Amino acid sequence: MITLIELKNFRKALVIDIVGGSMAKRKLENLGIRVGSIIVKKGPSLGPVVVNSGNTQIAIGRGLASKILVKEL
Amino acid sequence: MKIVLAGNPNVGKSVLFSRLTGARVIVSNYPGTTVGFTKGKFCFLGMEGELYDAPGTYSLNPTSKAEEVAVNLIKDADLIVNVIDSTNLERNLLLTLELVSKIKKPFIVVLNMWDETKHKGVEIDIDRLKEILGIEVVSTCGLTGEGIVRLIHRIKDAKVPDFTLKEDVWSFIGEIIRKVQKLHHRHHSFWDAVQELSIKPPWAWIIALLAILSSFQVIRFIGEGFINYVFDPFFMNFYTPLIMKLSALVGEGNFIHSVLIGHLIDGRLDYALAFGVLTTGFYVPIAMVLPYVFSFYLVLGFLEDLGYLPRLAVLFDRVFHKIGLHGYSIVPMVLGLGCNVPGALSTRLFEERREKFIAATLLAIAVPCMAQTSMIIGILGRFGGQYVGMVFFNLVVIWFILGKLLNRFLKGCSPEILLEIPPYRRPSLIALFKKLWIRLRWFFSDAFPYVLLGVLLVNILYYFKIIDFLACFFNPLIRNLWGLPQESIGALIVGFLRKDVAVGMLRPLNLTIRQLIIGSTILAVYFPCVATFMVLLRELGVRDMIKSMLIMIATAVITGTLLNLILFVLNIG
Repeated sequence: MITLIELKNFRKALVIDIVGGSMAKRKLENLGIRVGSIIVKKGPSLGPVVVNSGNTQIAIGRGLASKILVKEL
Repeated sequence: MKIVLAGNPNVGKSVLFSRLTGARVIVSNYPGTTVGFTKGKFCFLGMEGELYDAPGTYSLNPTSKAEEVAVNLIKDADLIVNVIDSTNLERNLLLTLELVSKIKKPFIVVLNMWDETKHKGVEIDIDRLKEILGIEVVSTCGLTGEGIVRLIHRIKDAKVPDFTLKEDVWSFIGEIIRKVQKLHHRHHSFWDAVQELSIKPPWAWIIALLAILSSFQVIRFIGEGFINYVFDPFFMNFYTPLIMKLSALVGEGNFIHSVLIGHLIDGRLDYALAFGVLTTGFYVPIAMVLPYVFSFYLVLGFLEDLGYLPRLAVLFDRVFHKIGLHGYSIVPMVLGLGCNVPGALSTRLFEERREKFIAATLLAIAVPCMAQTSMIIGILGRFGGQYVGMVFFNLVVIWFILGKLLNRFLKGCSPEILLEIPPYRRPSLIALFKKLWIRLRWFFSDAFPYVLLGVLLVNILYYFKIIDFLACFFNPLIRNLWGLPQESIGALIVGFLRKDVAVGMLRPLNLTIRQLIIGSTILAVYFPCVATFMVLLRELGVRDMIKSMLIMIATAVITGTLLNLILFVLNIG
């Protein structure tokens, strides 16, 4: 299990846990990111992490991204 | 009857709204274009009432002021049209299920952007979805208007959903998706490739640089072209003779002449110096400002509809973090470059009071609107582009330093970006010009009268010698600290009304280049124009607005003084 930050670019992963407040969880859930969703990290190496979840592309600030725990698929 | 268009951000509610009511609303390709609501009348198939275009929201628990507006509208509605992005059914269903289980009102689901499902390999079984949800579902394509007639016919069939959520919402959504949606494999398109490149350094930076530079060039090219080949010849060849006849009729030297036509110099009319309502009052907005406003909004509209702004937001996120904001604050700043009013309104997208305060204050201080910019170009550009550049350099430095200070001394921390990046879409020319037209109409109805009022005010200030009185009073500040002649107080007063007229007032004062740089910078910084002021007051509240104003005045005094010193030491201008 690694954080979304540590996940390499262009890798697919399963969201295992989100260690954040209920507000952060809810906001991520609104955009379709929740425990059990499959995401693909699109980069970049600096700045916010960009992931694809379904047909949606989402930019997530690094602080928030470090609270998302994933398992590479 | 009150019908509300509700749905996630950037699903095309505003496009449908303008299709259904014929009303003109701004439509763009980024989440958060609509921050307030627009109301329009509809009358079809014997039904009459009001249609409301609500800001996008992800749930019924609002996290920003824009979402609050949406939730209140939904609660007041008689009928809800839930607009969904067909290519993102799964995520959009979250709000749909929340709506149908909590709000018991006639309900209809619209699968918008239906055309995009084909390119994306998404196949949705509408009948099955209808069956599961027990409500009407219609597919539309807002941009082409496909399906709109069908939607209108189905509105009267909208039923109150009889629906209770028995299980976990996500597993239910999963079940729906399994039953109604099929995904087909598809090849990567050209747009996909551009999409990947535009967030991936170093390509992202190269693309951004190219986009920004070419935007500048296009804005300049079109703006200058209009001025040199259309408006200047028009004024010189057709308007001036007319005005000269009027001048002879009224007779020089009386109050009416100086208000309407202003001062002629050796019997000749110079629009930059005359300051009559019919001369400078028309020349400034039409021949100096409008060409740049037109070209700016043309370029901005293109970038908005393409979907480039969210990419810029991602790219600049780190810069914005240093000043207590996140990347999406690029939206108020970029909109503010056109006019500070929509810029200030878009701070409604932010959740935290601190974030709003910083964004609004920086916007009001260091983001000059296009009207002001075009006047700075008009007045300083004559001496060379580098001096215009210096004013902008000053503003960027002020923006950054002030932002850092605010971030340092205001309690709280920077929020994190969490932003949906829409796919690139090919801008439609018709939509582009519709939007341009809305913005230009706003310029004529809301800006133009204020320009005339501003020029009138100039005359009154001079005629009743108010300028002389205030000039003496503010002399120590203006002359000693800023190195400007005391008459520039006139520009500072008129600047409350219109910044473009204010910058124009520097012209007859025969300032040196250095003084023009200082004057232009101070006029940008010291206070917002009245239109922006009113919006900021409403958005920030009285207490924060007073704080913000104190910061503005302090910034003006300090930067004016420093600039005066620095330019003197460097011997510039």
